[in-house]
Amino acid sequence: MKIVHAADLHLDSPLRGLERYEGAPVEEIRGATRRALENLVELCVEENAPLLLIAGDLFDGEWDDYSTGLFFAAQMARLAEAGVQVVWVRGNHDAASRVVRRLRLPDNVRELSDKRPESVGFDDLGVVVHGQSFARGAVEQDLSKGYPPPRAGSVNIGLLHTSATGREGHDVYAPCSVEDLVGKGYDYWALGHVHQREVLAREPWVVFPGNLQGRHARETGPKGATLIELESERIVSVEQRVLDVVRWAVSRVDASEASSADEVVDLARAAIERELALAEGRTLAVRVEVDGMTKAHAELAAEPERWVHNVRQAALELAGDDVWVEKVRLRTRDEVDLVALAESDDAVGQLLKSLGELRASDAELGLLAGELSELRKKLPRELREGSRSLRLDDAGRLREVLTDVEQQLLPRLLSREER
Amino acid sequence: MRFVSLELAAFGPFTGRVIDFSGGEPGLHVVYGRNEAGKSTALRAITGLLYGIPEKTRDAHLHRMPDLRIGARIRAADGHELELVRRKGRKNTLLGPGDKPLDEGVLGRLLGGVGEALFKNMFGLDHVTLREGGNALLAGKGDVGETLFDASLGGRGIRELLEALQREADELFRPRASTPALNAALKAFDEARKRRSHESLRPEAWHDQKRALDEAHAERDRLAARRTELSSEERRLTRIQRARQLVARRQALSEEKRNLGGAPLLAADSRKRREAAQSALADAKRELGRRRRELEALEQRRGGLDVPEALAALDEQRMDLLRDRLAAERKAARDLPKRRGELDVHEAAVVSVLRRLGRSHPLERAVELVPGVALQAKVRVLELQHQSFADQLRTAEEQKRELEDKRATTERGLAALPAVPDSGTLERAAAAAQREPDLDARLDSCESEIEKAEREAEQRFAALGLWSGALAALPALPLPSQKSIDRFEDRFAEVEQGRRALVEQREQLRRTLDRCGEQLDQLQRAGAVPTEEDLAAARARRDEGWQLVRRAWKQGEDVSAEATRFDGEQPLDSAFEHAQMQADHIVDRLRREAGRVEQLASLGAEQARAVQGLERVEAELGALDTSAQALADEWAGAWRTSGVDPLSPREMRGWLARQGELSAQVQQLARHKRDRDELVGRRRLHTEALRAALDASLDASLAALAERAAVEVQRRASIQSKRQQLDSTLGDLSAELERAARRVEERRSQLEAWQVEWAQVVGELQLEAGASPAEVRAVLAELVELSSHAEKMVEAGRRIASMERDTRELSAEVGELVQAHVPSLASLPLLEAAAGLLARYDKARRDLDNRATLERDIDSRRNECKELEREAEHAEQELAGLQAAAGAVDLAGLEAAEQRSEQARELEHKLRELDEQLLDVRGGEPFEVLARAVSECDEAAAGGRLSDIKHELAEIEEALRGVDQDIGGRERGLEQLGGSGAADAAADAEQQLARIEELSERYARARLASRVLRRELERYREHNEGPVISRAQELFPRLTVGRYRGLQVDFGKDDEAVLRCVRADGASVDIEALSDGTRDQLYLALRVASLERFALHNEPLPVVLDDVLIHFDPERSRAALAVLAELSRTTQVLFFTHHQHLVDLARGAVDAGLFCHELESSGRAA
Repeated sequence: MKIVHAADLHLDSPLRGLERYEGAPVEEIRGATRRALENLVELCVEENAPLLLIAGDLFDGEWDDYSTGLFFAAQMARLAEAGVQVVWVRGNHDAASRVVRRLRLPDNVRELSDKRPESVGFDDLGVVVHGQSFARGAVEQDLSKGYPPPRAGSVNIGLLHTSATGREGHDVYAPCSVEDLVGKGYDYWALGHVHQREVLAREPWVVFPGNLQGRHARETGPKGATLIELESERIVSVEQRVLDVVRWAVSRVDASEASSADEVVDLARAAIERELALAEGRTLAVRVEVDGMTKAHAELAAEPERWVHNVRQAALELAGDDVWVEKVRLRTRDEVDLVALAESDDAVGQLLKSLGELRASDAELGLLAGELSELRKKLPRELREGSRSLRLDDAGRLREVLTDVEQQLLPRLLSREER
Repeated sequence: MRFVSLELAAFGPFTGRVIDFSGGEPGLHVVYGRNEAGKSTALRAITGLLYGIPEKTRDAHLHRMPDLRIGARIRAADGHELELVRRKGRKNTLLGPGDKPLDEGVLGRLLGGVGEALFKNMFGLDHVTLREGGNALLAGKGDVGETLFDASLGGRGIRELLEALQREADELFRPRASTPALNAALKAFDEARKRRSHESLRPEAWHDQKRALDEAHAERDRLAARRTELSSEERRLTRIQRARQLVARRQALSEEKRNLGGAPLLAADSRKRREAAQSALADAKRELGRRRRELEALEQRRGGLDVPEALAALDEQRMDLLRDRLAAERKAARDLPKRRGELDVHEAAVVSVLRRLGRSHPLERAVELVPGVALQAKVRVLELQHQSFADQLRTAEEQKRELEDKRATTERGLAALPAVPDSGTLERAAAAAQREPDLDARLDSCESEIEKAEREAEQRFAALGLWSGALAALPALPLPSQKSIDRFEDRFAEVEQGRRALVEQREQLRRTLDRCGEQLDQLQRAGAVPTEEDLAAARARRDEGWQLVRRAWKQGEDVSAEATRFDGEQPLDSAFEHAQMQADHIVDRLRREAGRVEQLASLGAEQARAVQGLERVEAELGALDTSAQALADEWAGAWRTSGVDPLSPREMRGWLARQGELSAQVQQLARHKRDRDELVGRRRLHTEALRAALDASLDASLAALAERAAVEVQRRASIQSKRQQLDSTLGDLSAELERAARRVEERRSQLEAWQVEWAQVVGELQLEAGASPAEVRAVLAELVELSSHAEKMVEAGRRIASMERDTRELSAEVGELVQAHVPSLASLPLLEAAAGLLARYDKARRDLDNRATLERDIDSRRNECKELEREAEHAEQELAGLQAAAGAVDLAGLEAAEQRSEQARELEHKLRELDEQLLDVRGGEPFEVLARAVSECDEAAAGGRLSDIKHELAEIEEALRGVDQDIGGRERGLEQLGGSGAADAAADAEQQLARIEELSERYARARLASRVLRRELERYREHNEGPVISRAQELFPRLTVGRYRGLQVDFGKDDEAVLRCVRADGASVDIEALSDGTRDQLYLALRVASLERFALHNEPLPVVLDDVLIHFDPERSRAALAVLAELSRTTQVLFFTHHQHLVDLARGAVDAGLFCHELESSGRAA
C-alpha cells in the first residue's frame, strides 16, 4: 500500500527571473505548477495510492484568482474518481489566501482544523493522520507539541507545516526540533514549507518533500513528491518521485582557458548541454554564470549583450523550445594585473586608485546613488523593496556595480584594435 | 627597461637577424626598413616578444608556426640584464638562456606591470594614432582633462568612450521618455499587472455564475417533464384515430363469416385431385382397347411359321468355314493352269546355266552350287583393294624420287658459298666508334673555346694588377676573406666616424671658445668686471693692513718697514683706509654689477670647459690617429703573405671579387684542357681498334674507318644468314626423304598381304589358282542367276501339289452334309451342291430368329394390358374417397362442396390481415378495449385535442432550446473561469520584471561608468595639468618651429578648463582653429610630455614609433627628431621608418646619441 506526500504546490505562482527573448519557450513554461499538480494526481492514480497528504502552501498567499482554486478542485475530483483520499493542512500562505477561504473541495479532501490538532483514522488502511492547519499567516509556536500521542496498532503520520529548526531563505514558522518530532513516537512526519527536499531523520522518517515545481534559479534540481510504501502496517520504503515540468539549473562556466568570446560561447553551450541531459526531456530554465580570468574578457566586456545573445542562440540551436537561458552572468576578469596597474602613475593607474577610494567611501557612494535615483523612483515596488529589491541605493550593491564598471572600463580604455 | 639587442631569429621574412640597440644610454635608434613589410614585422616582433606571439599570426610564412622565435637582450633601469627568447605556442613560450622556460613574471616586473594593450597605446605611436589623437583634441574642444588623459593613454579618444557610455545609458532609460528599453519594459510590466488583475476571478463571481447555472438546469428539467406528458397523450389520441376504420372493417368481416355458416373445410387440393382422377380413368380405358387388338395380330403371325430344326441346329462356325473353303476352291480352279506354266519356264533356265558353266549336276540340287553371301562380299572387297593398293605404291615411289632430286640441288648450293672469318672484334670496335659519332667536331669546338678563354683570361689578368705572378697561381693565392675585409671596413669607418665626430666637436668647441672670448672681450670692454678673485685680493690686502694697524695700535710694534712695503705712497692709516674702501667698493660693484659678474663667471666657466673639452678632443684625436695607423698596419699585414699591396678595403673588396672571378675562369680553362686531352685519347683508341679489326695497313680517318667497318660487318652478316638458311633446308629434306622411303616399304607389304588373301578366295570358288579378279567376277554372275531360277522352280512345284489336296478334302465334307440334310442335292457337281446346301442353311436360321421375336412381342402386350387395368381401378377408388370426404353422393355434389370450402378460406385470410394491422394500433391492449375506446371517443373532439397538443409541444421545444443555450453558455463561462489567464498574465509580468532587473543593472553600470570616468578626468587634470602642460608648452613651439609661442589653460563657457594655443604674434586660438598638422604636433608635444612624466614615476619603457612623421614637412620633422632625441635621454626611443629621407634628416638634426640601423631580410643591419 502506498501513500503520497507532497507540499508547497504554490499553484499558479509564476516562474521568476525569466526575461523574455526572441525564441524563448514562452508557451512551454506556461502553467508549469498546474502541470506539476497533474503529474502528482497521475502519480497517485498510477501507483494506486489510496491516500495523498499535502503539508501546506497549496496557493501563494497574495494570489487571489479563484480560477486557481477551481483548477485544484477539479484535480481533487479526479482523485475522488480514482478513490484517493486527500488530507491537508493549511500553511502560512494558505492561511493568508483569499482563494482558500471560499474554496469548496470534493468530499474526498479533508482539511484539518486550525483550532486544535486533529486526527483522522483510515481503519481500512490502518493509518492515522494527525495534524493542524495554520490559522494565521504567521504561527510562531511549536504546533507539534500539541499533537496527540500515537494510536496503537496503526501507522501514525504527523502532517505539519514548519520551518523546523530554520532553513535559509525560508521564514520561521511553527518552529520545532527534530528530537521532539522523533520523540513523539509517530512513524512518519510529513512536513512542508522548505522547498528543498530534505530527509531530517530516518527512524522514524521526518521528511520535507520539497516543492512540486522549482520557481526560480535558487530552486534548482529535480522537484517532486515523496512516495511512502507500507507493508503489513510498517513503512518499508520512502522515495522521491520527480514531477516537475520545468527544470531549473545554474551552470557555472570557467572561462579562464578560453582565448576568445566564441570559445566562451562554446563552453556555455557544452554546459547547457550537460544540464539538458540532466533535465531528461523537461524544459530547462538555466542560468549561465561565466567567470574566471580570461583572454576573452575584453571581447565580452566590449559587447556583453551580443555575447549573451549568442549564448541564448547557441541554446536555441541545441534544444529549441526545450531551454530558456534565464540569465547569462558575465563575471569574467581581465588578465591584466590590477594591482600592478593600480600602482603605476599613469591615467589608468590613477583611475583604478580612485575607483578604490570611491568604493571605500560611503559618502562618495551616496553621491553616486543619486545618479540612479530617477530610475529608482520608476521601478516597480517589487524591485524597490523586499527581498527582490535591486538595492540601487545600497552601498554594498553599488560597490559590486563599481567592480563591474571597473572590469568593463579597463578593456575599453586599454584596447585598441589591431591595424 | 630598454632593448640591448633584438634578434628576429625566425620571424616573418627574417632568419637570425640581430639589431644591436646597445649604443646610447638609452639613445634614439632609427631603424630603417626598405619596405614596409619588414618594418611592420619588426614592430610586431617587439610586442610579440614582450607579450607573446598572437594565436593567429601573419608572420609564419617563411617559418612554420612552431618554429617562430624572437630573441632579445634587455636591460632594466637598475642595470640588471636579461636574455630571453619568445617562441610561438600556448604554454611556456618565454625562454631564458639555454631555452629553459622563464616565468612571465620576471619579464612582467621589468615592464613595470604594463600590459600589452597599455604598452601598445602608451608606448607605441604612428602617424594614424597621431592623427587620431589630434582629432580627439578637436572633438574634446581642448578639454584639458580629456586631452591629458588621452595623451597619457594614447587612447582613441576618451570622449568617444564617454559618449558611448552616455548613449548606452540613454538607450536604456530616460526618466521622461517612453521608447528606451527600460521605459518600455516598465510600461509592459504595468500592463501585464493590470491584465493579471483584470483576468483574476473573484470567488463571488464564480458562485453567482454557478447558482444561475443550477437554476437553468432546474427549468430545463421542468420543461422536459411537461414534454413527456404531452407526448404520451398525443400518442394515445393518434392511435385511436388510426384504429377507427380498422375496427369497423373487422366487425364487417366477422359478420360475413357468420353468414357463411358451418360449411366443412375441404383439403386445399381437393378439386385438383378430383380432376386428375377423372382424366386418368378415361386415358386407361382408351389405351386398353388398342393393346388387345395388337395382341391378336401377333399371335396370328407366329402360327404361320415352319422351321427345319436339324439344319438350323448345325454348327455356325463349321458352316462359315465351309463357305470360305468353297471360295478358295473356286480360286484354285482358276489358278492351277498358270502355276504349271511357270514351273516349266524355270526348269528350262536352270538347265541352260548349268550347261554354260560346264557342270553336270542334278537339277534339284543345282542350288548347292551357289557360293555363300560372305564369300561374295569378300570377293568384292578384295577386288576394290587391289586397285587402291597398287595406286598408293606408285605415288610413294614417285615422291621419294622427287625428294632425292631436291637434296642434290641444295648440297650443290651450299658447297658454292664462300668462307667468312669471325667478325666479333670488328663489330665491337665499330659499335664503340659509333657511340661517339661527333668526336672530331667536339674536339674542334673544344680547341677553339680553350683558345678564346686563354685570350680572355690573359686580358683580365693584365687588368687586375696589384700582383705580378703567373696567372695559373692566382686561384691559390692566400688572400683575406670577404668577411675580414668587411670587418676592416667597419673598423676603418668607425675610426673615420669617430674622427669626424671629434673634428666636429673640436670645431664646435673652438666656436664656443671664440664666442666666449668675444663675449668676455665685450664685457671687459664695457669696464672691468669685478671678480670674486678681485674681492678676495682686496679683502686680503685690507686684512693685511688691519693686522699692521692692529699690531702698531695694540702692541705698539714698529711696523713702518712693513707699512712701507704695504704701501709705499701713503701712510699706513690712509693706506688701510684705502684698502678697506677698495674692498667695500668691490663688494658694492659685485652687488651692483651682479648680472655682469655672473655672465663673466659663466663665460669664464664655459671657456674653461671648452678649453678642457678641446684638450680632451685633441688627445682623443691623437689616440685615434695612433689606432688608425695600427689599423692600417694590420690591414697591410693581412695581405702580406699574398704579396699584394692593398688599397682601401672597399677597393680591395672589388679587387677580391675580380680576383675571385678570374680564378674561377682559370680553373674553368684548366678543366677545358683536361676535357680536350681526354677527347684526343679516345679518338686514338677507336682508330687503332678499327684498324686492327679491318686491315692494319689501312690509313684513313676515324669516320672513314668506321664507315668501312659498318659495310664489312653487314656483308659478313648477309653470307652468314644465307648459309644458315641452306643448312636448315638440307636438314628438312633429309628428314622428309627418310619418311618417303618408309612409306614405299609400307605400301609394298600391304599389296603382298592382299595377294595371299586373294589366293585363298579363288581356291574356295574352286577356280584355277591364277584367276584374275575379272574372271572370278564373271563366274560369280552366272552362279547367282542359277540360284534364282532353281529357287522359283521348286516353289511352283510345291504350290500345285497343295491345290490338288484341298479339292479332295472339300468334296468329302460336302458329300457328307448333303447326304444327311438335303439329299436332293447329292446329284449335283461339288461346287453347286455346296452352294445349295449353304442357301438352305441360311433360310432355316432366319426363320428361327423371326419366331423368337414374335413371341417376345406377344409377352410384352399382355403385360401392358394388365397394367392399364390396374390404373383404371385406382382412379375409380380416388373418386370414391373424395366423394366420401365431401359427404357427396356423386361427382356433382363433390364439386358444390369444393366451392363453399374455398369461400370460407378467403374470409379467414382477410380477417388475419386486419388483425395484424390492428396489432400495431392496439399496442398490447385487447381488441375489445380498443374497440371500446374508439367507440367512446368522438372523432372530431380528438382531432381538436391533437392539434392543441402539437402546438404546446412546439412551444416547449422552443423553450428548451433557449434553456439549453443558456446552460451551454453558462457552463462555458464557468469553464473559462477555471482558466489560467491571470496566471499567464502574472508570468508575463514576471518576465517583464526580469527584463527590468537586467536592464536596470546595465543602466546602472553605464551610468556609473560614465560618472566615474568624468570625475576621473577632472582629477587627472588637477594632478597632471601643471607638469605636463608646462613641458608641452616648451615642446610645442619647437615642434611648430616657432609658429606658436606656447599653450595656455583657459576656462570655457561651462567653467571647464580648456587648452588654447598662443601664436607667435601673441594671439591665442582655440584647438579648432589649428590645422591638422599643427594639431598633430600639439598632440605629439602632449604625448612626449606625458611619457616623460610617466618615466619620472615608473620604470621607463622603450617608446616605439612607427613612421610617425610622414605628415611633417622636413623642417618640422627635423624639429621633431630633435625633440625625440631629447626624449631618448629619458627613455629608449625606437624610431621605425621606411623613408630614407627621414634617416638623413635624423643624421642632420641630431648631434649625438643617434644610432641608425638598416633592416633588410637579407644582408645585415648596419
